[in-house]
Amino acid sequence: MEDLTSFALNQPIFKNFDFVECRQELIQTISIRITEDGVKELLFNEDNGLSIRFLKDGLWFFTFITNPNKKSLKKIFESNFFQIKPAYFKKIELYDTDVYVDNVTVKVSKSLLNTNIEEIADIPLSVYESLLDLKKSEASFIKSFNILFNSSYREEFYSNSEGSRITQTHPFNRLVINLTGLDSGKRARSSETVGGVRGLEAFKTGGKWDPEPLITRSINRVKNILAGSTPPKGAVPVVMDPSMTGTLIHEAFGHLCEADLAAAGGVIKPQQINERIANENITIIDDPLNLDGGWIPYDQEGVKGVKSVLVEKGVLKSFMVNREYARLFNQPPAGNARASSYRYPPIIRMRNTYLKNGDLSFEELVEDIDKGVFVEKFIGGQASLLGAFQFAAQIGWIIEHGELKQPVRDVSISGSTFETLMSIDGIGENFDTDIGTCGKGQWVTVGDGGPSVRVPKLTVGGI
Amino acid sequence: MFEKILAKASKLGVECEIYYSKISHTTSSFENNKIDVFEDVTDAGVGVRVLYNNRLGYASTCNLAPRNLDRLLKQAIRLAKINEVNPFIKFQDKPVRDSGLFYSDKIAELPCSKILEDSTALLNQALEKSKKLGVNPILSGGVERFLIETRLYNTTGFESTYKKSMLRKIVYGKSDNPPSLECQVEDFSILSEGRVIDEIADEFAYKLKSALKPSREINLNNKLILSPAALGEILYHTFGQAITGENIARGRSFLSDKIGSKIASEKVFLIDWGDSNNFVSGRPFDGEGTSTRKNIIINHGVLKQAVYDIEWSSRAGLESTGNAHRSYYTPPSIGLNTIHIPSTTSNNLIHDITKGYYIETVTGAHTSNSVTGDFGVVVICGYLIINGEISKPIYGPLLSSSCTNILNSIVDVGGREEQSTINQTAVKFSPVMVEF
Repeated sequence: MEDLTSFALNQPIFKNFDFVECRQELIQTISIRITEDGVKELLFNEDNGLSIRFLKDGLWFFTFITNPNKKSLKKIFESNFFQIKPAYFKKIELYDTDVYVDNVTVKVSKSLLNTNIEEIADIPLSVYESLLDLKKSEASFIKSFNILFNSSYREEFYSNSEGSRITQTHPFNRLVINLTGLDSGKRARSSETVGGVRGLEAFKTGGKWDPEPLITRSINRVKNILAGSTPPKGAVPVVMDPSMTGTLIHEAFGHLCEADLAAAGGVIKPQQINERIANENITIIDDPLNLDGGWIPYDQEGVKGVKSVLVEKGVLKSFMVNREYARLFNQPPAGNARASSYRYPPIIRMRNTYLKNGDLSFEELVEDIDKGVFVEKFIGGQASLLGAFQFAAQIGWIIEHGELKQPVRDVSISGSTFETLMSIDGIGENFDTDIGTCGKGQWVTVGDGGPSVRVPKLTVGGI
Repeated sequence: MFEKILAKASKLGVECEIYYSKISHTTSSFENNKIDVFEDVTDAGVGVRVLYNNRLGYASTCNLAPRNLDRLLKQAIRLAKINEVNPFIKFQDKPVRDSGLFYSDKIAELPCSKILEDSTALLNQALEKSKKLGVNPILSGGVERFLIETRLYNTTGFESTYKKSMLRKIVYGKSDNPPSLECQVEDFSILSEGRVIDEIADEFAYKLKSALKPSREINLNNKLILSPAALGEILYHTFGQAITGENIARGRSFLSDKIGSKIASEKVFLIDWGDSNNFVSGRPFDGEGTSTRKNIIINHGVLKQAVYDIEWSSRAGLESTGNAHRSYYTPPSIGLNTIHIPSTTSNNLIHDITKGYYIETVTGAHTSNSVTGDFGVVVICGYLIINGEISKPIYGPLLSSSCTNILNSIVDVGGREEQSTINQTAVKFSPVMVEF
């Protein structure tokens, strides 16, 4: 792909604008969906476009064109859009950042670019064959399944009027296995996802994303959900696995730490910096570089990604900002301005957000609980700007006298974010992250996680 | 431009379908009390589906150069060759005429600068009117216009096109001091410029005033009024997924064996109304070219039918119901066009309640279990009703139940209709009273 961002920036029309940036992307994707009936979808998509964002008289302007070339770019610059004069807006100031000229490429053995479609399709097809075999033998309770596999390759050029020129090139692969079980009229579902910025070799036996353990885990989970009873209702001690901890950190806490949402009346206020908002064992990080989640060496404002400590030992240390909010909040940007593609302007987003682990074994986390619930594997949830959350787990387990007992199905937890962060009284030594997509008007890949944690009292309900 | 590709496909012995879509989107949005960004973008592209000996291949691109379309066709054929045989996929052969019911020149010809002006006026008026009522809000929202052109061609000779316009105005936000719940007013229009800015700003300010100083509630009682937005969210993520012909056939739905059975209270009708311009999702044909129509899904509480695309209707020995959703870069999949529940009364439902709750917005519906129909949502904006009047704003309680339980508990539907959208489904009905 020819880099047209400098050509676009050098157009005379931008001469008197306060700030201009261009992003150009080429994304090629193969998607495969397989159900119990065989291959349902085999798709190829090629997406190529260039976006321009500029500041003029205190207002951000944004536009893009697909399949850009010099001729089509010149034509777009003649449109009325570039002539609009907003005379009545207050000047926007951006936080000064370093100018970067860099080229970041993730090198892998196998990607969409050097692997034939048959070999790529073999990855989900091997999962399909395993599931079919299991369905016919020991896992006859599996009623249906969906296997989704995406393999893409992305090239991105970024240039701005301050002189930054950045190229980022990387593969992205993801495998999702969704199972539905049916037994004696009861239904159950399980979902597992692996993926990120690694090569296709990660799906090989013994690789980082080997599908076999995933299949075993999914089958066992469906079996246990089918055997599960209705969860108890009420306020009880709850132990969360890393997946549920990650959800708490991302959904219930992380969004409140996004500067645009904080400014919109979120419960964490800018003036709370350096104040205690969680107990002293809580440290929360947002990290730009996780090959199995959000990997963003430079964000879509050309800012180099650095690890942010959001909370250190219970004290609020920073918000997530873009360059505009960095100025308003008076803190340097760390690379949180993200856009899902050239089709969208960048907004403040998380990357890989996690709770730092502690030193308790799982046995130590549950040993003092007489009657409680262990919730495992997030399936969905949301939290409000007022700091209330509700998360559903794929499965739960009754804890009785310090031991895990029978499974419970369709279990959800709800509570107040800050009461929960203050009351967590046990943090596990384990650590894991999930890959996910986060929606805020546009979807981006994120990671979240942490250790298992114990909360002395949380509302548990059935869904 | 596409005739050549279709001719080439025929020459190569494959059936071929070309889906072209062009969406022009102009929006001026405001965030945290200031006009934030003005966007004017056009996204156009094609999705090419081929059937090679009953094997399906799909490729899509935004690069419409003839040479690239040629390459795209080859790519789709290559994928089809390694796919499995699926005799149920067919291309539509009955063209649909664009009635022009979904397009307004008035909206299409609005200058970009007018959208920026209206958005600024909406922000300023909502701020001003709120302040007059003694509230200092933090507001977000905007005005946006969509102009959509869709064309579908295939090697059976099928050719259909339609144009659609839409205008959306939205303002949402809350007060920080004194605190309030988050309030929202949204307006959609297909044919006219919709509600005037002044009226939207008035309604917003009034709502915000009523939402000041909320208290946290732990429990709800058994008498609830659910706003269209709240119930729409719950129904979309449970019923909306369970009612597709694919999920029913594959046993992934709590409605799998319920066609012909009573699944809701007798007062409930649920209508999927794809060809009406009363709904923001209205259009003359679906993503496969099948003409859209009025599908009565629930009639007097009895589940009458599922919704289908061509493949899953063919598997069930039925006709497609016009419910294939897609974009140029995604293949068709089944979804409800609308969730519409006709009113059962012209009365304001609140007046009949001695003690209960009005639930305006919920969060977490997307975590619902569409296989079992169970859901658990948190109320983020609600009101306590005492003696037929709104008493105070509340938030926080968990509402957990099942889709069939809630449908069976509906007592009445009445009051002003409100519309919202979730993905490509329009939700439009009046507030709904449920009694557990």
